[in-house]
Amino acid sequence: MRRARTFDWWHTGMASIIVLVVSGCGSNESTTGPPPPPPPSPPSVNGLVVAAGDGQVGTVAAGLTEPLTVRVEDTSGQPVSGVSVSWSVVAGGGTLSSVASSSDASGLAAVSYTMGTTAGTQRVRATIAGTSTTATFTVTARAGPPATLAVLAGNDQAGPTGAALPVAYRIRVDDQYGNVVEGATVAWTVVKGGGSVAAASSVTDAAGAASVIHTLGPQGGGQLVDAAVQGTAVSPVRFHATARSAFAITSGGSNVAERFGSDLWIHGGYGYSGTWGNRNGTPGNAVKIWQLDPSGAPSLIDSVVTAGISTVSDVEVSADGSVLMFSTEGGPNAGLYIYRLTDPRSPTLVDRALVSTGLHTATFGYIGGNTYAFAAKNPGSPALLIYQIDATGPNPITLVSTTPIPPAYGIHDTFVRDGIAVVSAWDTGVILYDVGNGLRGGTTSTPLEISRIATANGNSHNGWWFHNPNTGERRYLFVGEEGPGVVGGAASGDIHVVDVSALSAPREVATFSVAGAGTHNFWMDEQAEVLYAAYYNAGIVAIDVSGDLSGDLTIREIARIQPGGTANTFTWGVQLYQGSVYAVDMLSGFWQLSRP
Amino acid sequence: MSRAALRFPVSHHWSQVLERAVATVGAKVGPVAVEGSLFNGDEPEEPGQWPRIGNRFGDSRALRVMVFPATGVELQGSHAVVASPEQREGAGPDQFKWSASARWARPIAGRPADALMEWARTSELDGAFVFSTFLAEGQYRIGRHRMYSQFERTERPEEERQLDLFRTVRPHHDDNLLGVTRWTIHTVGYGADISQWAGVRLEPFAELSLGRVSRIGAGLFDPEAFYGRRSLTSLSVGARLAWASAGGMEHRMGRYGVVAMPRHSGTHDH
Repeated sequence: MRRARTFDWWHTGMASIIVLVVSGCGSNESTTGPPPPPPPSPPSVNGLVVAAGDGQVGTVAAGLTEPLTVRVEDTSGQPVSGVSVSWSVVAGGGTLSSVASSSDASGLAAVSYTMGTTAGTQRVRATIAGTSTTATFTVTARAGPPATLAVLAGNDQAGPTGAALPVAYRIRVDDQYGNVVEGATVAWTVVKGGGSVAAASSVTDAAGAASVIHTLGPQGGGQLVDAAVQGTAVSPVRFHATARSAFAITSGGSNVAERFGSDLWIHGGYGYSGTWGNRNGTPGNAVKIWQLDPSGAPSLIDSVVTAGISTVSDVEVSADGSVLMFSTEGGPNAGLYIYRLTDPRSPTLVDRALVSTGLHTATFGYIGGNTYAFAAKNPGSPALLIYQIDATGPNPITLVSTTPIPPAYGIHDTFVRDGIAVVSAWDTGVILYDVGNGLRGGTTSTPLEISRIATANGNSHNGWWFHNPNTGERRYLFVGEEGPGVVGGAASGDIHVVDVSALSAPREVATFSVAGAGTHNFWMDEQAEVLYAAYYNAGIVAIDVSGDLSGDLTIREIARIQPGGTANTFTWGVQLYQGSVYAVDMLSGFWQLSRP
Repeated sequence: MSRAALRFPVSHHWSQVLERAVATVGAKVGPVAVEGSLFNGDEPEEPGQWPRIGNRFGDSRALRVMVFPATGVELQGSHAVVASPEQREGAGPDQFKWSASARWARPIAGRPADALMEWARTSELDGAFVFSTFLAEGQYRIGRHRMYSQFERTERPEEERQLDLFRTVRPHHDDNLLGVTRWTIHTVGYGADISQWAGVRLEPFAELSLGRVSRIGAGLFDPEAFYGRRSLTSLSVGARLAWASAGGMEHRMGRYGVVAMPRHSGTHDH
């Protein structure tokens, strides 16, 4: 209990004034009757004493259980009734049930107090109205129940498989008002990667923080740990780490010595790879045919050689395995070739469509029950040519439409999925066309542009629209940039990540780069959330693309290999097939690698 | 276009005139001349191909400064920005060019002589590719006898070839450089002006060139594999014909500007 100072002079003065006024009136009304009796003397208030409610402990934004009560006393310590007491919040921002109350017969005046939203000390002041006589209450507000989790440290680290990450995962628990919550139990759960955490749970400290060390599991790639507050419905937070591992050469290599290699496709236990340019006088006019043994090791069994070309620039087998398609350049017979794979060891020419200056890439697209080839003329116009492919019909290759891509250096590659053609068009950027998706009403006959984006540095070369089977997201488009380079020597260009969750408004959100090297063709292990990039002079690079992608993704590199060695590697294409990574290196041939 | 030596430079910009539409203005004040030019950046892809004057004229520019400090001496420096020379539609990378030269043409002991040194540099793709070239040549005549020498060091892009290995892909696909080579060639020659009939002069000559080609940096292009060897030796024997009224046998690279230059006896511009 505290006693406040008292000031009687004001009340004494008021009494004197009242007496004077009454005396005057009495003089004027002396003829109407005897003067009234003098009023009772006002109470002589001496102090304000905290009677109850001080020192309480409560929860932010909640009412205190006990009212804040003061007692008004006179100079002799007796309660004074009828005195008006005003109330105010001095600290803490809470609310009062009333800003004024009167002392009762016991001299008590009270209000209820609801805590402010900031944890810590809160103060309320009572003042005898019209005076400076005060009494102050001090109460303590504790944080409310856990409402949010925030990552403080440790997210997006990388380390070798099986190793403990150097920085502990650290989170902070807050209530709904942002006050840290001490004493909350945080559960740590390994979600992906098979690693372990040092403790299954930990308790938040006075700073609301809890932490744990994550030891990575044995599989290279993204590894995830969730942190959740036990006994609450608070959304957990997820920590991501990249486990670094290594490729290993399983078989292959030094098996296409007479030509430079180019693209590849593997289907049904057979591989088909292209050849490029001119090597010691031998043009890249061959498609190499590889048979995979039960271990996946490739053996060269035959070649399809096409006269009048110098490059087989793109190779693909249809999804049903019935058709081999490849694009060619560099000669009078350049264009699109279709072979039937009735015998995958011995493809049979079905048809070809010759195109002046050739076609650089050709990609199958399956739309409305039909099979199409999306071909890129690079450079040139019209740049995008769409053919309908029917290897068993009377017109195996039928030109359906052509699309100019201004301003033109042409396009390099097309990725087709969900009725959308993702066209990589050098400095023009990446253009999304509706060719049967329904978003814009486009068709293969009339592709309609949905949107376009110019990624950093331009030189958009190829793309892969990632459909994540684990999350159902179709959020990220990976765009390869092919910058200046010397074929077989130097390369440049990064991987740009474009958020296409809104197809009409794509935006670049992340970049991956390898110093001194340039990316080329992609393949994805979508289930494992790993992007494999043929990376020219850097060989093959595996990149962890799990979780949210933003900023610089360089730390997400899982593994890298130059299969032909430092001086003999310039890798064009890569594909994952039945657990192995296959790659064609322009210099060192066809390789089988183990996944990192 | 003609030079003292039969062997033409490896740097094709010093051995041919590209067909372009050029508008040049110039001014000469005392010993200093300045020229500015606008032109189309596209280069012809085949003989007889016309410049794309309609939509590309003016996309490229050059500035040249020349100084004539003494009779028979001229110094030159130039800078040019050439838009997309390798892609006729104009979507290819631009080239930034610098050049400098010094020419000397005065009699020595009363006999005609001249010498020329040229240096040039081309940069494209923000300096990703830089090619330099240097050439020095000179000749001296004593009576009917002419002696000459030429030295060249040129860096050259080796580009993706067509089925015909002497043709490159135009316009090129993606990265089309297979490597960079440096050509270093020394040439000496001798000619004798043996006759003159009706204004036509005949000069039998013999010329020897020794050179080597080396790789700069990595890449697919192996000059030894492509050409069969890294060095070259060339002996040329022939006879030049010239019209005496055109100035005789002192062939030299010409100028393409508009500022009138002092002419020297015995020279012949091309």
